[in-house]
Formats: sequence, structure tokens, C-alpha cells
Amino acid sequence: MRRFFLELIAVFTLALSALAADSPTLRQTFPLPSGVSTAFTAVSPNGQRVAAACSDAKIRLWDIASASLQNTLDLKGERPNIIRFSPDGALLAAGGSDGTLRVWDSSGALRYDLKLAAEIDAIAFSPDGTRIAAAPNGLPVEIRELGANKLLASLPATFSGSASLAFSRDGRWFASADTDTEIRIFDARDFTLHARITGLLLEPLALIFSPDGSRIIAGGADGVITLIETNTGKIVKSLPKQADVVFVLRASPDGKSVAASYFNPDQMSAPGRLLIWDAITGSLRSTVSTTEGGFNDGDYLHDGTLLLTSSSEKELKIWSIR
Amino acid sequence: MSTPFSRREILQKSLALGTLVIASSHGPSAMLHALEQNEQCKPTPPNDLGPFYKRLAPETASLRAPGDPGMPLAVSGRILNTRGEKLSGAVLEVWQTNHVGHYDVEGYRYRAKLIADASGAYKFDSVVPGHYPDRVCQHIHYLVTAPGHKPLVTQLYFATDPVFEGDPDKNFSRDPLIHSRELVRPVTLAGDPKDIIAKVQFELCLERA
Repeated sequence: MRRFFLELIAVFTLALSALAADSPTLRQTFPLPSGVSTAFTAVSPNGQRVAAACSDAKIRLWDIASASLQNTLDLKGERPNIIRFSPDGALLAAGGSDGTLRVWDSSGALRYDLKLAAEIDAIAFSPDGTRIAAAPNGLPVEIRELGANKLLASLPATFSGSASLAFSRDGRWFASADTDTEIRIFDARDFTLHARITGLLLEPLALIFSPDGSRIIAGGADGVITLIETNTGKIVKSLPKQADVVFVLRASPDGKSVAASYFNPDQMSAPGRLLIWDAITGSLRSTVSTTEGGFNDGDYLHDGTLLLTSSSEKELKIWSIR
Repeated sequence: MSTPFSRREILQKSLALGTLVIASSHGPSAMLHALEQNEQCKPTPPNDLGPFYKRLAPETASLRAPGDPGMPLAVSGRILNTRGEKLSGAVLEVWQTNHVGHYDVEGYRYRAKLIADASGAYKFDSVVPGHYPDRVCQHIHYLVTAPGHKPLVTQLYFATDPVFEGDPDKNFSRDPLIHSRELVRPVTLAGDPKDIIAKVQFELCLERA
């Protein structure tokens, strides 16, 4: 009965969003099996594939252009916390609630199966795909060389671990959004600490680099998106504060816009919003809303005119945003 | 785990909205150390920080201001390490919602820093935190640090929470974020009927670094 009601709301919301002239328009959907929803997703950097961690403990992979389901990875009841593609799209990594760090190749064959000491909150591939960073809960971030399965570096926060990790695309920098509220920037060649951003009072939950690596874009519990100059670690801009917490951030391929998912901190089931900001001027470009809960992931596709989103709704959606 | 959210908590909650499944998380590794010999005090189980931790909380033992609505609450306890040594000077940060389940993110209401005294003791006055819509149980967050010891991030829960229906032994896991029964503490009521105060003791035990 509840699901039926939600479906009705979804239909109304779609109809309304199509009527609003300046709103993103829904272009395509990827339906999920009955009774299944996504926990979160990952889009391959080349925009060819999307992987969804689903509520039935399976990861489903689609080819985006043909909208065809390509593969289903059965995690046999285990709950992943995060999935990420390697930069070339060939590998898919999942960080698990039991501390497993698994990497599959594009055929779905399991290539690596590591066990860390605590459940994994965040992962990031290096741009060349040879290294992976993982954040076990409450423990230092581990940087591992995938081929040799060798621990290259261990990067501690003061307490409680890291919520989000990222490498810059040029391979020069690595950054962590830490639950002690700091953002730490490391030299990705030797993982020496380059800068600490201590100006945030609340926890940053999402962190990305701008496509050219010159800026870090971070957002979190304070509802503010903060732009940080990578070289200096200085905060150069803060986007208008929202009542909800920032949960997901993505930069458009040209670096000119930032898509951000917001959750209502007092009521997770409340409709969430995805705001698209002009990364240069800091002005709001457009808004997409869910019917229940926030957008749990998504990314720009191709030239940035399309945006794929996932939420606790029953399908993935691709929006035309210009 | 805490009130909404670490990123992982948001994901869990988000998933729960959709349908099906949520496997409960594993037990904390700190529990293993309790099995070590020569330890007089079992490390307090950790529980997630949550996204509402805010740095630079004021040093005060009075979280409750005069006239604040809600059931007055007095919390006290000691900070020890696994050898049973009292950790004088240990620093606690505590934060919670107000009586209706709302965190102050803009300011520092119901947020405080406390210093354990010479006997490792601490205490503060507050109100019983409220339930908020998507979190099952009432709770108070703790971050405890002491030189030479691992920082402890955990949460205090109340045995009187209606969610437990009077039987926290049986029902504590109704909140999927509570992994350990010992974080659910008894509550006693004191004072005259017109001025009742809820009292809770919460002793915390830190692991050596």
C-alpha cells in the first residue's frame, strides 16, 4: 500500500517537473526489478557504464547508451558501502560493510579480494588505475598498489576516519574529507601531507577535485559547498548555505558546474534535492527533486548535458540539463 | 552509529527507504581487547560519530539553560583506561538534540566540552534528548580523548527509551545503530514529583594507544 502511494507521488512529481520550463527534463530511466532499490551508484568516467549497488545485495551494471543490463554481481547478502570505477572504466571496486575490498574486471571476474580491519566508508582509484585508496571506519586511510597488493601509505585522521576520498585527475594530489571535520591534502606521489583545511566546524561528507585539479570541492553537514585552492589549501569560495546536508558532489566535465545532492538532516525520508551550481559564479542553475529521500549518487554524462541520478526510487534516471 | 549520518549511515537510511535488507554491522574490534589478560576495565564499545559533531564546543557542564523545556537530565561518570586507572584531565565532548530531537548546527546548544577531574570524574546537566523522525532511539554523543590513549567515539542510550518497551536486554537492537547493550544505561528518577530529574551514570573506558 505504501509503495503504491509512493508510485502515485512519483508520477505526479515527474509530470510537474516536465512542466517547469527551466528544470532539467527526464530523458531516460533504467527500471529496477520489482522490490529492489539502489543504495548508491557509480558511473564509469568514460560515461559508458553505470553500476548500482542494490537493496538485494547485488551490483547491477548497465551499458548506458543501449540501456541494457550487462552484468549482475551477487554479493551473497553482504552490504557494500561504496562502489567506484577505475578511471578507464575497466575495473569496478566495492568497499564492504565487512571490510572487504573487491575489484572486478569488465567481464565480472573478481580480480582482487582484500580484507581490511573495519567496514569501508570510502574508496578512490588513482588516475592510472594502479592504486586504490580505502577508508576503513575509524582507521587510517590505506593506499594500496593493486597489482602487488602492497600497502603504500597509511594516512591517519585524528579520530573516526574519513568519509570521502579523491585523487586529482593529473595524479598530483590526493585528498580526504575526514570525520574530525578536517580536509587533508596529500602529495599523491609520496603521500606526504601537503595541507590541512581546519576551517570547517562540521563534518565534510563529500569531496571531489575540479577536473583540472586546481580546486577541491567539498560539502557536508553544514550545508555549504566549499571551494578550496589545492595548491595553497585556502578556501576561495563558499556557495550559499542550504538547510540540508551535502551528500554527493560531482563536477561537470568542463568544470563549470557542480551537481550536489542534499539530504534533510532531521528526516531522511523527506524529499531530497539535487542542485546544479555554477562553479564559477556560485549561482544556482537548476534543481531536481526526489519524491522520497535524497539522491544517493549520480554523475554527469558525456559533455555534461546529461546527468544520471539514483535515489531510493525504483529506477535510475537520466536528465537533460541544458 | 549515530543519528543520521556518517556518509555510510545516510546510505543505510537511504537504502532502508527503498525496500528490503539491512544487514546489521559487525561488532567493534575494540571488544577483542577486552579478552586480554591484566585488563580491569573493558573498553567502551565505539559507536559512530555522526554528522552533527561540531568542533570548538564551549567548556561548560550546563547544557540545560534555565527554562529549557524537556525532562531535566543529570549525567555523570568516570573516565578510566583498561588498567582501571582514572584518567584525570581526559577531555570529553558531548552533543545531543534538544528535547524534540533537533540538533543545533548553527550554534552550540546542547554541545559541551568537559574535563575529567582528579578522580577521572565528569558530570553535566542537560535534558533528555528527543526522538527525531528517522532515528530510532534517544542518544547522546561522546568523543573522549586522553594523552596516550585511543580516542573514543561512542553514544549513550537510555534504558527507559520507549523503543525498548522496558526490556533493553531483549530490544536494544531495535535500533540498528546500537551494536552493544552496554551503551544502553539505566535511568533513575530523583527529586520531588514537581521537579523530577532523570539521572544516568556512564563510565567510559579507553584503550591505551
